[in-house]
Amino acid sequence: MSDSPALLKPAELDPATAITRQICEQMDRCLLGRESLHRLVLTGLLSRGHILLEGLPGLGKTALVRTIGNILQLDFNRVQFTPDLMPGDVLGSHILQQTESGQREMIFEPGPVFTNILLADEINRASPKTQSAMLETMQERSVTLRGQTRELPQPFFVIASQNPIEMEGTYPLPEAQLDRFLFRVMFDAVNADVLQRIITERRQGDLPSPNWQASADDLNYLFTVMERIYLPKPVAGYIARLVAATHPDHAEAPESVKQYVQYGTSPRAAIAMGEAARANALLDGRPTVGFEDVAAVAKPVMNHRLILNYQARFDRVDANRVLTDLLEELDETGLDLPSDVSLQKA
Amino acid sequence: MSTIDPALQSFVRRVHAMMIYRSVLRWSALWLMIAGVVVLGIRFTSDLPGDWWKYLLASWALLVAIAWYRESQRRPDPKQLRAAFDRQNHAGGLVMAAAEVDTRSWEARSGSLALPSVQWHSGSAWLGTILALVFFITALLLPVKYARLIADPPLEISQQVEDLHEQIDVLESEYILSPQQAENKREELDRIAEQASGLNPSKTWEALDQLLHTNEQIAQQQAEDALSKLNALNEASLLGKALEMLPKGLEDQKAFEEGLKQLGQLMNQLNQDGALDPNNLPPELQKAMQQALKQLGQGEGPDAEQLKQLLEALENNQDQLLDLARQLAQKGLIPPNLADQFQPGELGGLDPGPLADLLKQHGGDFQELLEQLGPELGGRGDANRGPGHAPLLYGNESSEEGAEFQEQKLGLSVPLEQAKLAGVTITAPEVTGGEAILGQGALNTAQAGGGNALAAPVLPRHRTAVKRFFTRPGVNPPSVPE
Repeated sequence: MSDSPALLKPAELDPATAITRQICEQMDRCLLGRESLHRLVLTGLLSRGHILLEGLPGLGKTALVRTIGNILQLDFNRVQFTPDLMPGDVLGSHILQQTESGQREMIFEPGPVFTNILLADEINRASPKTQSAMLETMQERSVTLRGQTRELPQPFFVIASQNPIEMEGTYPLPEAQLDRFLFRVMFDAVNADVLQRIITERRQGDLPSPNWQASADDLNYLFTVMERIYLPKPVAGYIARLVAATHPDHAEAPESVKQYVQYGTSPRAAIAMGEAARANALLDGRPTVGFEDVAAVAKPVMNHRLILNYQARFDRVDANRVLTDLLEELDETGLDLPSDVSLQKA
Repeated sequence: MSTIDPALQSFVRRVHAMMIYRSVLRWSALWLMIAGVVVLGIRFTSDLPGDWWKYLLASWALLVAIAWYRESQRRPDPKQLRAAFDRQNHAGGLVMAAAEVDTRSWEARSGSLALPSVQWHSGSAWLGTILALVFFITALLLPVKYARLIADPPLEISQQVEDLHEQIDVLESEYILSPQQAENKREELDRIAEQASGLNPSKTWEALDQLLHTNEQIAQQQAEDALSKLNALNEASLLGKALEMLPKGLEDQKAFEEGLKQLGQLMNQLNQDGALDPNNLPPELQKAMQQALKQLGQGEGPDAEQLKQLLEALENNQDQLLDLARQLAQKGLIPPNLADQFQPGELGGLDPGPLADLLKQHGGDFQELLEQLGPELGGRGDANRGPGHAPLLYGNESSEEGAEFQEQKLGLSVPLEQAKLAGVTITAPEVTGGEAILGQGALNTAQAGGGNALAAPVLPRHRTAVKRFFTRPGVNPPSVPE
C-alpha cells in the first residue's frame, strides 16, 4: 500500500471544491432556476468537453455562455450559424495586405473560433461544409489553413445550440460531429416560480454581473486537481460494460437496447464518461469516482451517441428511455448473486 | 491496514454465510423428500433400524458440508464484493480505491461504514422445506399397516383357497388323486395364496381358476366312469334280485341257471372293469364275493346264501359310488345334472318282479328282456329315469354369443303423398268385401292403445276437414275434437 500512489489530500481537494462551489453559486445567482444545468455545464467544462445545448429559443442559452465567460474571465465569441456561413467566417481567412515595406503578403485574420468559449448558435443551420470545418477545432483544438496549423487559446470550449423545432432548412449534425460533443443537454423551460422571479428581478432581461470571478490560476488549479481524481478499476470496468452494453449484440445488452438500438456508442463515449465522472466527483468534493458519478453523467454523455433504429421511431422511444433501462438493468458491481438475493443498505 | 478492511471482511463473511444458508435450506427440502421416500421404502419392506436418526443426522451434516464446499468454490469475487460494499455505503469509490491506493487520509472523513444487510427472499424455500418436513414426518409416523397396505394391498382369497383345499382332500380321499399328486396341488395352491397381491389380482384369480378347472376335469371324468359302473352294478343287482325271486321249482331250474350264467358274465365284466372293488367291502363280504366270483367263473351257480351275500356286496359297491358322487357334488366338482344321475336303488327304479316273470316264462338274453320290460316298467321315476332309450338330459343353456337375428325384409308401404285418390265422399267410407276382408290385415287383432299399422299424420290444414266430418248431419258424436 505504501508504494501505491496517494490520493489527493483533503487539503488539496477542498480549495478546488470551494472554487467549483463558488462558480456554481455565481451561475445560479445570474441565471435563475438552472442549478442542475449549471452543474452539468461546469462538469463539461472541467472535463474540457464541448456541450450541445438543445432547447427552444429564448430559454437563456446565450446568457448561460455569457455568464460562464464572465465568471471564468474567459474570452467569449458568438457565431450565429446560417446556411450561407462559410468556414472562413468561423475559422478565419487570409487577406492580402500591403506591408510597411510596400510588399504584399497574405495576412491571417483569425475568425471567431479563436476564443476560449465559442457559442455556435443554431449550429444545425450551417451547411455541412461549415459544420465539418468545426471538426478539427473541436477535436484537435487547432485550426489548419493553407498548410499552417494554429493552436486555439486554452482552454477552448464549444457550446453549441440547436433548435428542436423549425427543422426546415437545417442540416442535421453528422454522427462524427455529434460524437465530439461531450454532453448533449436538454434545455427545458423553467417553472412559473422562476419565471416570476425573472420578471420581477430582471428588468429588460439584463443579467446581473457576477460578484466573484475565477482567476486563470483558479481554473488551472481545477484542471490540475481534475487530473488527480482517482478512477477505481471497478468503476472503470462499469463504464466499459455500460458502453459495451449499448451495442445490441452484446451479451449484457438489455432488451430495450436489443430492440431499439442500431449502433451503440463509441470508445470516445467511454473516455468522455470517465472524464465527466471525475469532474462530477470533484464537484462533490471526493477524490475518487464512484458509481453514482457515472450514473449522473451517463445520460448526457451517451444520449446523442446512440443511433436508434426505425422501430424506436415507430414506438416513440428516445435515447433517454433506452439509457434509463440500461442503467437500471446493468448491475454496477457485476456481482453475480442469485436473483432472489439482494443487498440492502444497513 | 485500512480501517475499511474489517468491515469489508465482515460483509464478505455475511454474504458467504447467507449463500451457504440458502443452499442448505433449499437442499434440505430435497433431502427431506428423499429421506421420506427412503423411510417409507424401508418401512414397507422391513423395520427401521433403531439408530436410524443417526444416519439421518449424518446425511444432513454431509449435506451441510457439501453446501459449504460448493459455496466456497462459488464465492463471489472479492473485488466485486468490495464494489458492492462501496455502493451500498455510498462511499463514492473510496472503498474501491482503498484496494488500489492509499486512502487513509480520507477514511477519517468518511466515518464508520455500515454493514449492508444481505436479504434473501426465502419464502418459497421455506414453504418447500416445511412441506418436505411434513412429508418426512408423515412417512415416519404413518402406521405400518397402512404403509404396507399402500405398498401391497392384500387380496382376499382365503375362502377360495379353503374350498380348493377341501376339493383336493376329497379327490385324495376318493383315490382320484394319488397322495403325491394331491401334495403337489396343495403346494401349488399355497404358493398361489402366498403370492396373491391386490396390485395384480387377475394373475391370482387366473391361477385359482386354472386349479379349479383341473380339479373339475379330473372329478368329472371320474364321476362319468363311476356312473357307468353304477349302471352296470344296477343291472347286475336287478338280475340278482330277479333270480332271488324265482320260485325254486324244477321247471324253473333252467331259467335260474341261465340267469345265473348271465349274472356270472355281468359280474366278470364288472370285475374286469374294476367296478367291483373288494377293498370297499367288509372282510366277510370280501370273502363271500371272492367265492361267488370264483364259482361264477367256473360256471357254477352260487347258492341262495351266496347270492344274498353277492347282492349285498353289489349294494355296498353301489353305495360307495353314490357316496363318491355325493361328495364330488357337495364340493362343486361335478355339475348338478351329472350328480342327479347318481340315484340309489335298482336300475332306473325297475321292479325285479316282472323280470323274474319273464325269466321264468321265456328265459333268454338279459339285455333283450330289459328292452322288453322297459316300456312297461318305466314311469316310476322322473323324466330321466326308467329304461327309455333316450333319457332327457338338461344341460347348460346354449350360449347366445355369436347368435344373430335373422334378417327379415319388410313389405313396401305406400307413403301418403303417393296414395291415389279414389274419390271423395261426404259420409263415412263404405267397407266392401265382407268379413273376409275385415278379418285380414295388420289391424285384425289390434286393440285400443296397441298402436296402428299406418299412422297417417293429421296436419293443421286437415283440421277443418276433420271437424266437418264429426259435425256432419245425422251424426252426433259425444265431443268434437278441437
